[in-house]
Amino acid sequence: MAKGLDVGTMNIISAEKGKGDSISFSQQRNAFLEMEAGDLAQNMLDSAKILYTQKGNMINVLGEDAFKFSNVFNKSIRRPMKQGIISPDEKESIPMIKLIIERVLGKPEKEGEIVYISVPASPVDSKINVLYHSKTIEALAKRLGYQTSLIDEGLAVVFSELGDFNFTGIGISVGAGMTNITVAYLATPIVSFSIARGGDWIDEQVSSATGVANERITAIKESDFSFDSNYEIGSVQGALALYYDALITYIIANLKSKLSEVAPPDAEFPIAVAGGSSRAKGFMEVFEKRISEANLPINISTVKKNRYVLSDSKDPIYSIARGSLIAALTKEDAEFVETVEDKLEKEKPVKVASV
Amino acid sequence: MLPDDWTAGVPNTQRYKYLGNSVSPPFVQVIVERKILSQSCINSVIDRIVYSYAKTIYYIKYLKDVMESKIRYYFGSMVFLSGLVLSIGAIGFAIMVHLNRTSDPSEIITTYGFLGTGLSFTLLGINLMISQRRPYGLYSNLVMIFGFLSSICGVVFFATIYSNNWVYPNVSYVAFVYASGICLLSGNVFGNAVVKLIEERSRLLLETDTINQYSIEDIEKEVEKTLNESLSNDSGFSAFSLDMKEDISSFVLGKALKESPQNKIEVKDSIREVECLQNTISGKIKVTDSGIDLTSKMLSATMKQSVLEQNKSLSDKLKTKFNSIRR
Repeated sequence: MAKGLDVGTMNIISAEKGKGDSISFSQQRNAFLEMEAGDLAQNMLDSAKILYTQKGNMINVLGEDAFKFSNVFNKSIRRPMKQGIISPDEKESIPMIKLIIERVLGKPEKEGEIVYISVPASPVDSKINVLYHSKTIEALAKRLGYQTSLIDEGLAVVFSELGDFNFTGIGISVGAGMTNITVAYLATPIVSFSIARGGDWIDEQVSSATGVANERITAIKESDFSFDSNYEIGSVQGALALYYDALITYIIANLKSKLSEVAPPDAEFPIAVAGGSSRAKGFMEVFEKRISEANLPINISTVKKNRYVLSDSKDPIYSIARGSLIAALTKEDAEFVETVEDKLEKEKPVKVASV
Repeated sequence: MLPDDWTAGVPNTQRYKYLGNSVSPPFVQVIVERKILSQSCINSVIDRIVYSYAKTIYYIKYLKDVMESKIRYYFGSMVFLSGLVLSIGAIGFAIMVHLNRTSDPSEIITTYGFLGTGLSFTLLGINLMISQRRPYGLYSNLVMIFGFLSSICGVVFFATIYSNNWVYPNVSYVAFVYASGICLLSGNVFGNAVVKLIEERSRLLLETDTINQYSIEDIEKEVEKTLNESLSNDSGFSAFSLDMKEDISSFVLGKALKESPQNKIEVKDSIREVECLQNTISGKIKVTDSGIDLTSKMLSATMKQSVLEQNKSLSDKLKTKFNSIRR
């Protein structure tokens, strides 16, 4: 069965078709925390079923638990990815990503199982090149025995959220490291680009402005922040709102600038917003307001948030993995149809002309 | 592969520069094997490398030549100046003694002896300064030596016979020997000057960058173009496949990583977008885009018009042909 894989700066998520009418998501935080090894510590970690690896006298706690431990021990977590791509500053980045991908993706049921992997588009505001990242992630999945294909994060959002609009619209994924944007018309990307700013950028700015640790800011942002509250002067929440607004303005300004370079068709373009950094309460209202003020050169019909916010109150970060899964299932179906047609063609009786 | 000691014979500073600027053959091999550049660009890169190598070799040779020519110029200018001093001295002496046909033979011999020798030395000096290297430099040097010896012989012959035996045919012999020597030296100077002029022109042609078809920017553009061409038609991503070796990880996996299964979240979802996406990609959906409709209509009208015009011109042609046959 085909799978979709979203390799994000903060989370690595895989999606596959579940039992009946359902999708099954596997998720792991793309982070780890280094600790000193010891028999007692290892026993505790084993009994608590915490994911870790050991190398010499050091232990790397993986995933969500790394965040919990970092808050408890007040230690900085290490991130294998930075600004949407494999971090060049982290020497353990590839082994850690490999472990997490193996964990969430699992082994393929059959050799050559299709997997679509979301990758960022080239950023417009940075010299970052995404080719190495994309090819390395693809190679890691290929090594597990999958038949891999890459898909732009923005296009994955369009596939996931804009099916009702014939896959025409703007898909925006506000991730931790990057914001990916794709303008698509009938499932074909017209413009695809990324911005090297996302949730991490907000955390860094707020952290440097307020002096609170980065991990603490991330925790507050994810659990105790909404746009429609009144903030105390000097509070972390106030700074978060300020930088969220700055990020939204920056995204829209770049979108406007990119749209002015192309001639999009005369159609209605709904906007779909997804990604972990868009889950703050009130984000959509602010985004909608800024979009209406921006006077974009295309006709925006509606601003649509990730489906799971409405239906299942789950994390909107699943949107990209879902979009990748849709692409993978479509390819799988197309290949199946092709195989059947080929088979029928071969089985057709050959007419022999009678003499 | 570049030969050993290919920079030998030049100062160390220059050698460091050449070695630093040289391109290693394996690097060129990688460029060619990986097809990073198009064939024309590879040719240009190789041209550039060969050209730089040739230029460096030429420069090393040029430096060696400079060293040799310095010595030649030193001797040449010294001889030239000696000749000039002798000649001027001879003229000065002639003025001083009021030289005329009835003057003392010793004064005449001294004056013309010095003047003749001076002229020979002057021409020899010029010859030395612009003399050529082998192979034709050898003949040039032989002519120079022969000419100089001949002219000096003429002077010596003159000095020997002037007092007692300055009669026909001795005078003719002296004049012939000296004149032939001077002619050889002058002719050699002219010949060398012409050769020098031709060489200078060739050097200027070599120094002018004739192999300048691709600049660095052009090569960068070529690399970008080639990378773009390597994008897969299906996905728009690079078709290059990164293979990975079986890694020998030094990590020891924890118990939970090895034993406990990955938590999964099941969400009710029929994923009907798969069917929609298939329909959209295969073009089975109705598009309501006035812009596209209008463009399609305009295109269709233009194509019909063009077909009509084509048919019209064809019938016109047939009519013309028919009329001509009838006539």
